[in-house]
Amino acid sequence: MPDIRIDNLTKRFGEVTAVNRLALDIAHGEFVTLLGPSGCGKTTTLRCLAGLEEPNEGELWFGDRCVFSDRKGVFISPGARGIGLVFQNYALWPHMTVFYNVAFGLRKKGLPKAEIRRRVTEILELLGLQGYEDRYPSELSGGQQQRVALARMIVTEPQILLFDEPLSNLDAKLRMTLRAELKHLHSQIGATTVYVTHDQVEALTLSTRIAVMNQGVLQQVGTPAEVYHHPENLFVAEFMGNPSANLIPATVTEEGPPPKVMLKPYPKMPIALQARATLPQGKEVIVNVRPEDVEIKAIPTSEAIPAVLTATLPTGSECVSYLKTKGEALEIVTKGPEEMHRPLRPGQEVWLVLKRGNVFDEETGKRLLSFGFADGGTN
Amino acid sequence: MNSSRAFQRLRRLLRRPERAWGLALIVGLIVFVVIPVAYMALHSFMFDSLGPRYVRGAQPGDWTLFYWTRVLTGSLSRAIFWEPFSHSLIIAILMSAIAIPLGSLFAWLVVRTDIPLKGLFNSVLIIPYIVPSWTIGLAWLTVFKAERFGGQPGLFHSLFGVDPPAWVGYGLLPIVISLGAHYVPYSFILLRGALASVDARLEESAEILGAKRMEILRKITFPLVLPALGSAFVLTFGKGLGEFACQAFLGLPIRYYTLSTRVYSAFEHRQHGQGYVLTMILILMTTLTVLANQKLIGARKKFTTISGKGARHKPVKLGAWRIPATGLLLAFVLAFVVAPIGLIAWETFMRYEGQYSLSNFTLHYWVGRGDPMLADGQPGIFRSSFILGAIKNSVLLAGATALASGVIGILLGYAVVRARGTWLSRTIEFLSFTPYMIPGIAFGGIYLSIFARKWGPLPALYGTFALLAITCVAKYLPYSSSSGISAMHQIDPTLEEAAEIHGEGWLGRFRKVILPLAKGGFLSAFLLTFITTMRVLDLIVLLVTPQTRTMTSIIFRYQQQGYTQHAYGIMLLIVGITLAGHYLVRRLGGRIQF
Amino acid sequence: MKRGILAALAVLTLGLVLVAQELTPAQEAWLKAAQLGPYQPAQEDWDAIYQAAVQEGKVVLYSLSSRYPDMVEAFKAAFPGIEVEAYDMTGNEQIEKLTREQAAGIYNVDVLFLSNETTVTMELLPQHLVWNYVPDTLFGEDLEHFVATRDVIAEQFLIPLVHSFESKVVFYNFEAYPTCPLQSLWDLTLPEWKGRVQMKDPMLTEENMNFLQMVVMHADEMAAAYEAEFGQPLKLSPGIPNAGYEWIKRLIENDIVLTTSDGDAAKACGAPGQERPPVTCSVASSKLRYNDSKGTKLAICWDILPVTGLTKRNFLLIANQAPHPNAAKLLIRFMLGDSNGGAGFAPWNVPGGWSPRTDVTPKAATLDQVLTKTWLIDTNWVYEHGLEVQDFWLSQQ
Repeated sequence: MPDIRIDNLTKRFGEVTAVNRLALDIAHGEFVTLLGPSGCGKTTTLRCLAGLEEPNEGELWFGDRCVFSDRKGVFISPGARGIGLVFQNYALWPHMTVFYNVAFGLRKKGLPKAEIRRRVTEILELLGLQGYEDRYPSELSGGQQQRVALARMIVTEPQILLFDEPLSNLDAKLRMTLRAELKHLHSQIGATTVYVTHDQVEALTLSTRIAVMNQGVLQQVGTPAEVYHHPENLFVAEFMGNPSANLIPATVTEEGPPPKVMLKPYPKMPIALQARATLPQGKEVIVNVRPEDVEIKAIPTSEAIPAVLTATLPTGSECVSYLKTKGEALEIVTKGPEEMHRPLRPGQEVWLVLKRGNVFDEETGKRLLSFGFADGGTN
Repeated sequence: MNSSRAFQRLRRLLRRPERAWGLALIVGLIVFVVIPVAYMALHSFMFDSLGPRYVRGAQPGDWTLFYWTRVLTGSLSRAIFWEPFSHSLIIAILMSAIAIPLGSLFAWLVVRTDIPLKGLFNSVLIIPYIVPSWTIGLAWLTVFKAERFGGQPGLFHSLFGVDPPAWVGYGLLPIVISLGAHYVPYSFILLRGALASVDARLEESAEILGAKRMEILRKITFPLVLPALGSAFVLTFGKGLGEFACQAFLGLPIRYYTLSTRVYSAFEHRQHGQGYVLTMILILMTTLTVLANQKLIGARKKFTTISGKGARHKPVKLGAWRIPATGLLLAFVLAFVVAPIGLIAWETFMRYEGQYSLSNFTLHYWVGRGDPMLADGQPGIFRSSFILGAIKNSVLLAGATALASGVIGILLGYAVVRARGTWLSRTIEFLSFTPYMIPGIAFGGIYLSIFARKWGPLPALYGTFALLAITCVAKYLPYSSSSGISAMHQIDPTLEEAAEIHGEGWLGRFRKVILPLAKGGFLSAFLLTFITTMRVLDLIVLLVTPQTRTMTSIIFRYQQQGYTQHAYGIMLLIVGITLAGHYLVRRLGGRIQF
Repeated sequence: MKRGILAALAVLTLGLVLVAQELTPAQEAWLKAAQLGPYQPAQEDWDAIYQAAVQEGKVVLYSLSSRYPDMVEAFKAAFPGIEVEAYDMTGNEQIEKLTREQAAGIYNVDVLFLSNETTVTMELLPQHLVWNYVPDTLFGEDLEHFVATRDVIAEQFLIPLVHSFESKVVFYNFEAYPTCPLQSLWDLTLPEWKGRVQMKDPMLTEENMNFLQMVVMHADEMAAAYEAEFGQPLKLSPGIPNAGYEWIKRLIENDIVLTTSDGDAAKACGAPGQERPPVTCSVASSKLRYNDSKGTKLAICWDILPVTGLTKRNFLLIANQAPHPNAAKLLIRFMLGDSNGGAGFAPWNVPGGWSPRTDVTPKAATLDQVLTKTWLIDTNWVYEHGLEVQDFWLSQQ
């Protein structure tokens, strides 16, 4: 039985549908990230899970317990759901000390004083906050505030942890550290976790599964690798990855297998896609290749596209290069080990080989096949 | 299906306390604001008890356009309405033109520059608002009273041997200056808050781009504090239209009438119909001001929300301007705080008023036992059980009103801010501002008519202390709601949600999270209503019963009976009590905010 | 919902429109029990009234004058067991409160002490919002002796019962002027007195408007006074119907100074050490007492033409369905004092104040003198034409 079942969840704000018929099962102990651009409905979904918003339609189940159902008229209040929530701004009560912030939930449960003190101290120690008990939130750094918020959440030992962009207010370095801490914490506690973020690196690094959302609609659910390498549709393909994946319009010239396509920016010769599936002849498609899956060659080879280098952006460990195809100019981005790109000069003519990627139906935006992967690119 | 939908909707409503509470507030506002206004609107189309004397055969209560045409187009409309109306407009505009720039300048000097004595100015610059507006007006007369108007000439005449020009003593100029000075604190308080919350980086980035200081003020700071300026304008302008006492003291001697003195005299002559018409126009004008303000700067309102993360401002070095700027502030404090209170205090120690000599000094009016030769044998203030009783009543009424207003302010703020953007929020905000525009005397009269007897679920409130307090609370809703709203703006909703996650119910959240955080708003509403109630007169004059006389209700009587020293003494006590209240609340960490 | 509110408002409105010429059963019952109005016996049993008053326990007084505390103490001493709740209110406030209270069915006050002659005689009494009450006897030389009321108060001052008279007069400063510097009211409109006439704004007080109304009503006398002083008939300005209106017009054009209180005007006129003090118009004669309390130099211009001003009547009335009618009777009787003035009347027995009682000696000028030097308010005329004068005043602003 899944630990969280989201069934057909719909939430509207007036005319706007923030979440549209969302369905998602989350197993016990999973760390699922809701990922998407701002306004995609991820936070609303989280708030519905927390009970801070009441959905318009659908059902929510925590284990075998229905916490919301519009048909049955069920609505369990947030406090009775056994959840913990960390807000983007931490929402620490400025008029309470760290101790009282953390102890709030325990006091609410009516635990004996000594027990409360013991557990709060334990948690604060776990998070490296010993000695800060009597400070007010305003006297803490951002990272410390974040840890207090975490402590406040887990001290009541909730079954389900909810995070609403908890790291977005921190600087990059601290974010990195806290990511590791979060992951460690999750593995220690093992509570089912739903995590909202717009930062895909965060999603890719932390999650067991990622649910990508756009405009209130769930686009794809899968492991980080699935979502990254085999996006279900053009939106996910474009959204994932930094820099964004290359999208090259093409026409199918041979059904295959392996199917062949004629790339529109370079319509001189068809390119064979290494896949065991077929594509209908004459279909207009979009070929999607991640920058790191575009190989740069200094000399022409078969099935390579000629292009001109416009800029290289080395970062130390790797390098991103921007190129323009000849003919109908299309910008192509590549990424690879720095030493491969270093000899290249802007203006230089090179040849590009598409190693692996996905093909999408231009009309529907749905993925038709993957190519170049070890598994042969079946769905 | 249907019933469960309805049930769901109801539950959703109740789960959102701001909605449920908002609806309750709306009901309250309908009873205490809409119905009185509707009552007034309706009665402006009916003959009043004087109707039969104007129109033969008219019966009181008959429908008529008589009063509207009389006021707007009749042969007397110029005298009754148009001229006073234009005077009111001019006063409101000019006093805003004094109060707002001066208040903003003071705020800027105190918040942003290296001016000395900041602590002193911060607390003292509020005082012109804390003391009643007519103290400045009366003190003005003490100084500039012309011999032409008889009696003891003012200090000016005593010093220079000649009268100041008539236009200095009475009419537009002194009214504008007195009221302008009185409302300087409005802009000062509002701008002080706004300036402190502007992120310094916004200005610094302009500085880096090479903008001159004035340019930064004009292009960056000014637009950012514009909403605060807008609120200051609405509050000041509205007051300018409605203020009575000062305009009466300084305007009537030269027959300079304003809308508010006309409204007052209409009610004084029991010309209710005419009074209601004028009041409706007053309400309409203020409403238009509020709406125009919302249209102009409403969209920017969110700019002002305090992020609290702004970098600290480095104080502007005034350099050569430091001394003149300090001088200006000191001069203002001297002229509009020290002098008025000092002059009034002085008067209470004069055996015969207006004679500034040591031989004339007496404590009689404070502690005397009563001398038939002085003030008809009225005993001194501290020996008069009548006055002492009034002091007790005033403090009780002001305290009760302030306490209730503080709580209601927070609740109003909660409903308005949490439901921001909904019709509920807008309606509550608008309705709670409406009493600002209704003259006190009309408000009190209507309340007496409506709430004196048992009415629906409301018991008959006549003669109860509760009716007085309810009237004051309702009349001062604008203060409590604006305090509450501005306090609630600073409380992020997630603070409450965090408690909700821990299973805290609405009352618990309110008690443990909202109330402690909104303490400032509570204290501000408390302070504003306490101050205002201490000096309220016309509002409650019809509602008081013998046991509920207040200090103000006896001041004007004493003034009219010629017991000047008593009147001034009680006035001084009011000033003293309000200042003490202000000091106490400040000690608790509160300050006035709108 | 909307309709409900409208209906509620309509009910409220009707409630206010009291056309109570017909007595309600409740009023009948109250009158009978209180022995008032048609049920007042020719001879009253004052012991019984006192007993009943003690049962009632207290009496509530609304007073236009704040001079009552000594009277209240004396009353409580004379009639132990009866509390007095006295409250200071202008006549307008009393009327406003009374009408709204009665419309709401609330009966709170017992005795009204007010002037507002037109409203009292033309509205309050006919509508039975108040009842006139004349005690059969008053106190004589002391509280043990009695005189028949009709023996000491003229019939014209019994309905409604007059407690005291007060004049609104022209004051001058006797330090600056050995005698009254004015011959007639017309002098107030001369250039010599431009900006030197002080009066409380008639829009703020009904009495001063009443004075202007009487000036218009007595336009013939005004015209005669003009001719008597200047030897030629008055020339009316275009569009001005009579000498009364002409005088008002000229008074305003002469830059009259309007004050917010009689006290201000009196002090302005009477303050010592002035070279060119102003005179007053229609200021309460009782301000004469400022000469003692404030060292002013006020004197009344008694002998100017046609009159020095107005004499207003202060009435004592019992509120409709008053909760303590017997105590009210006692209080009214007490406030009319005794032959020597008496503790009940003492606060008003001052220079510039007069009792209607012929057996009380006034402190300054006799009542007869005053009544010949001033006009009484003709409430019928004011009711019919008063608002025309008020509108005229407004139009001249």
